[in-house]
Amino acid sequence: MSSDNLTEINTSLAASETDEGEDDLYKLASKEEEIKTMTPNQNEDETTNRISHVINMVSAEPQNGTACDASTSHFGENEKSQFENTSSIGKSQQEIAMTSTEPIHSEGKSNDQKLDLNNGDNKAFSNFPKEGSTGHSLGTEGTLTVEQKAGEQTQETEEFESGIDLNEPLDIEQEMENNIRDSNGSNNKIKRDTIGDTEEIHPDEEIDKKNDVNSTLDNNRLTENISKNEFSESSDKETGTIITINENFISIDGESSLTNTSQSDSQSHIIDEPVTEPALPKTSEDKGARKVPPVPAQISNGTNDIPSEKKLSIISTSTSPPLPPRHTVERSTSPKLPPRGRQREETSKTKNAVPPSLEEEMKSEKFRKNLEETKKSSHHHVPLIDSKTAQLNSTAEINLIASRYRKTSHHLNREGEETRESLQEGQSFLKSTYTSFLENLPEYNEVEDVNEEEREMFKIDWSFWTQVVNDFATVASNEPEKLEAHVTDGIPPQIRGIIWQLMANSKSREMEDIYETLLDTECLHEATIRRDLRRTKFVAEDKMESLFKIIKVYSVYDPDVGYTQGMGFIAAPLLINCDNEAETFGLMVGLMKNYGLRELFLPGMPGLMLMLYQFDRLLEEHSPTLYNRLIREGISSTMYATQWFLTFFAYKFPLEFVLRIFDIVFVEGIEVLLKFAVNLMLKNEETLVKLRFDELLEFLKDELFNYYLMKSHDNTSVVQTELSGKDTSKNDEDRSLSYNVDLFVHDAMTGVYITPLTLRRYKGEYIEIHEKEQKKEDHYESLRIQNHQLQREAQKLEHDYSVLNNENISAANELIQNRLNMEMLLDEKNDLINTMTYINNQIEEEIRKQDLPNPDASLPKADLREDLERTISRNNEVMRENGQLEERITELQAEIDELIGINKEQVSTASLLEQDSKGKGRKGWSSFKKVFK
Amino acid sequence: MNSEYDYLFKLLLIGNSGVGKSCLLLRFSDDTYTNDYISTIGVDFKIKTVELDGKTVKLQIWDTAGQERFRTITSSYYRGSHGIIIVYDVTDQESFNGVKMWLQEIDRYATSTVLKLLVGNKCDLKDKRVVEYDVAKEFADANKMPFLETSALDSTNVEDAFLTMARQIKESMSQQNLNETTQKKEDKGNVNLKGQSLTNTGGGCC
Repeated sequence: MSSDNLTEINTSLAASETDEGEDDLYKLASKEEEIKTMTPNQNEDETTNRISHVINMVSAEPQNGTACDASTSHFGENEKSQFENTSSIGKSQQEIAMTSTEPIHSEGKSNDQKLDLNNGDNKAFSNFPKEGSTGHSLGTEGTLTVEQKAGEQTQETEEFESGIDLNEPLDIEQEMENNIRDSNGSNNKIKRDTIGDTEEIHPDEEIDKKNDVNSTLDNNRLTENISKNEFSESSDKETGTIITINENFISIDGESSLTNTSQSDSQSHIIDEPVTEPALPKTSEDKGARKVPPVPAQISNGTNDIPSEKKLSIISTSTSPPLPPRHTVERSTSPKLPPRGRQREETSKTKNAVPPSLEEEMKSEKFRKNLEETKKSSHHHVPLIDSKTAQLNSTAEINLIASRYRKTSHHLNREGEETRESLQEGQSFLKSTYTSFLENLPEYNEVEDVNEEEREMFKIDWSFWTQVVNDFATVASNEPEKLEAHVTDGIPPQIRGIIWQLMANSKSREMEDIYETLLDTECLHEATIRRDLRRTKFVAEDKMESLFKIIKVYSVYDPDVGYTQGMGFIAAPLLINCDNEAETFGLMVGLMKNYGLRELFLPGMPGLMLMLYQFDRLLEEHSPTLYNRLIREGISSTMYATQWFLTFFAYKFPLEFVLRIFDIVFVEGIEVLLKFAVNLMLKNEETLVKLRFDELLEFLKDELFNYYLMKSHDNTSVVQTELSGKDTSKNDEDRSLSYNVDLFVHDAMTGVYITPLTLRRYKGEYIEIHEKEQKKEDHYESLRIQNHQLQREAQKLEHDYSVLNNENISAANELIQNRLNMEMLLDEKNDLINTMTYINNQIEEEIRKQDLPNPDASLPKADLREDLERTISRNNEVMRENGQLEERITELQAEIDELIGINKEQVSTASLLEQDSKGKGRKGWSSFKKVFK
Repeated sequence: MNSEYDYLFKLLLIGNSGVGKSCLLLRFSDDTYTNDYISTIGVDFKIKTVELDGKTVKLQIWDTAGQERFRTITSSYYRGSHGIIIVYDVTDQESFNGVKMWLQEIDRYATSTVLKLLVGNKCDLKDKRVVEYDVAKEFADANKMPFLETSALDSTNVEDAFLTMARQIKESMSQQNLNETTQKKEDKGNVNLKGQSLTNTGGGCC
């Protein structure tokens, strides 16, 4: 691990170095002279410069002893480059000055902490394995130095101050800048990462403290510097002393003063890095550095690396006497530019052989903004303590391999002790497997009769693969390009499984135990898995059961993912290249969890949707024409690219493609699928833009890879016949045909450049869009539900309404009826009223009548009975009288009858008489009659 | 509109995983059958042009992955569809039970005018049948959709299924056109009938 880190530090240094060197040694020497001949009249600025210069010189000395060429050349390089970059003069110089003065200025506490700091640093050095005892002695010296410095320097403060004084504004500016960045939360992360990285070297908590100390120191510096501005003592008289003190420095601290400074400086240096320094140049320089015998180079780098910037600045500020013209020229060219930006530009221009497009991108404001944004968006994912160096971090921003490696080791760091041990064990097992494989490999010379296949074997750079097997971490972080190149050529099939497992860091006893335990567990998806496997011929019949078991166990192991169709396509190539099921399972878990593949398989498939979005953006970026064409034809990436990403292209592509894709995926992460996808689209662009919707879809699904179809079966043929998809036969028919897979992989790796940074930017975009869509969807969903409810309500209301309507009708009818009734009642009422009035009148009449004196009323009531009795008796009397009267009547009747009888007798006698008197009586009777009338 | 065809209908095949959607489509579009058709990842797509009552109808048929978690991808294909064919497996009760859920999906993602068709596939497997025709028919009737039993293996009813769907869409389209024109005419004279009846009854009493 420690050597690993060392080299990482190396590379960070490399960013500011050139390959030039040894003749600068001469300049160095001349500078030494210069210091010795320094006059007391020199201004304060120069004085300080010289001091710090000497410090640096001294610090370089021990290295010169051990690895003269390497360290001096570094030194020289820095010097030179600094001459070219005057802009950064002030900044770094002050830092040196400051760091050396700090113990004096800061109060007790920070002083102590500074001490700690040194301890920490020295430990870091002592941990470098190859440095051995030297490192330790340095360490102890370091602690001593600080104390001494604190004591000795007190009197010298003023001189240093003056130096600081001059350069302060710049420094404050820088600090401010840092602070601002920190508050943005972006560089903060990197800063912390850096510290975390160093912690790997010495796991003590000291580094954390250092972080705090650094920040407090920074603050102190800021305030102190400001107050220091008030001092304006000239240091002329003290120059002599300075030199002697410097000598003290030389003798006592040398290294430690450097390490001391390096700490604070490395921070600022690193902070810049992701923004300014592209990884590619670094790595290339790194290679350059590696040419130097490894051990000394590392040592020199270790001590030299970080302060390099400082040294540069010191040298350039001190240019005045020996190199006045350059100095002025430089000044005049860029006086107003902020030192940082300027330096960045210069560095990249002069030293870094970067692909221009990328460099342009790096420099652009937009790029930086995006960097900040993406960092912000991913900030919460990154724990404070990381296990990678600053180099790796910055490289990881733009290099997939580094990014992948970082993730893997990050993943590893989260695991428990046991798991780690188990993984370690697994690694060593793999290594031994590899070794035994290599041992069995026949020597080229030994074999006379070599067939084609064996000849192929000898072309393989076994030493490189051995390196990979032995220390993948170093290769991944230091030589990503070399690694990429080798993997792009294809991992030798014989060791493919080993390399995959090493890269994924997946093999461990633990995983294998898990596999064994879960093997017998029942699983919900069993039937589905079996059915899917049965209908797809992934692997040979005899391996089917293994494949089933692996997928089943995974679905038990990761119940959130369970089983998703398409997993078979992932598991099958793994199985083919692994020795046993458990290994395959471990590798699959590694891919899923560590590589983030499970995101693609989770319910809702968030990872897939993200990847499709990233694919769309990349395609749009690489070929707007094609992208627009597809959009216009109504084709979305979900229609064809889903299966690419879910199955690593295995769904339709021949296995030879797939294995190579797996190679790259293991080294660069699943993001690399985007490279293949975009590359395929670009290569087929000509055909694609001609096709219509239906054909387009079919072509996209089945014929994209036909671009790499070879007419001849010669795999090694360099000349490629590029076939357009239209000319080639269909997928099913060309199984026997061979493809130029090498070209396919190379095209993808070189033709499409994708940085994790870009991907993260797209991720940020996607998340934003997705969130918006989610919100919209939620809103829509809630509206839908609401609508549903409202509809139901409306139905209910409608029902109610019709009910009410009926009710209304009947009510209306009733009303009519009632009105009629009322009319009738009114009539009746009127009648009644009339009747009543009549009756009333009658009553009134009656009353009136009653009011009249009643004849009976006067009668005394009590007399009624008496009256009645009287009446009765009276009645009786009357009755009696009546009877008497009737009797009398009867008597009288009888009397009458008697009388009548008598009368008759008289009448008869009278008639006789009359007849006698008739003659005479006539006249008489007639006269009588007349009278009677 | 393209001169190649008179109508372009977009159809969607949905249903549980493994019921034979892809086989059904393969039988219809290419008239072939394969036993080991790999599970659909995401969506698949086929075109078939048919003659229908003297009109050329181009069918754009989308085949979807049946597994539930692919719904993130497949759900976006509901909206543009004219007709949706829900497929279940007559030998798999679970897949028939799933039809209800698929109907909900349609309700959720498709347009309200989308036409549905229920298809019970694998009817050639008579011994293994667990979903009776009558049960399914009843269910289809209750949900107001036509129902067919098919076999992609012996191609029973496969073409019928798709043509039924196509015919249905065509009819509903002309119906819609008719409705639109008549509606325009009616719109001028007529007001809400309900409103009128209300005023009528209301007017009666006052």
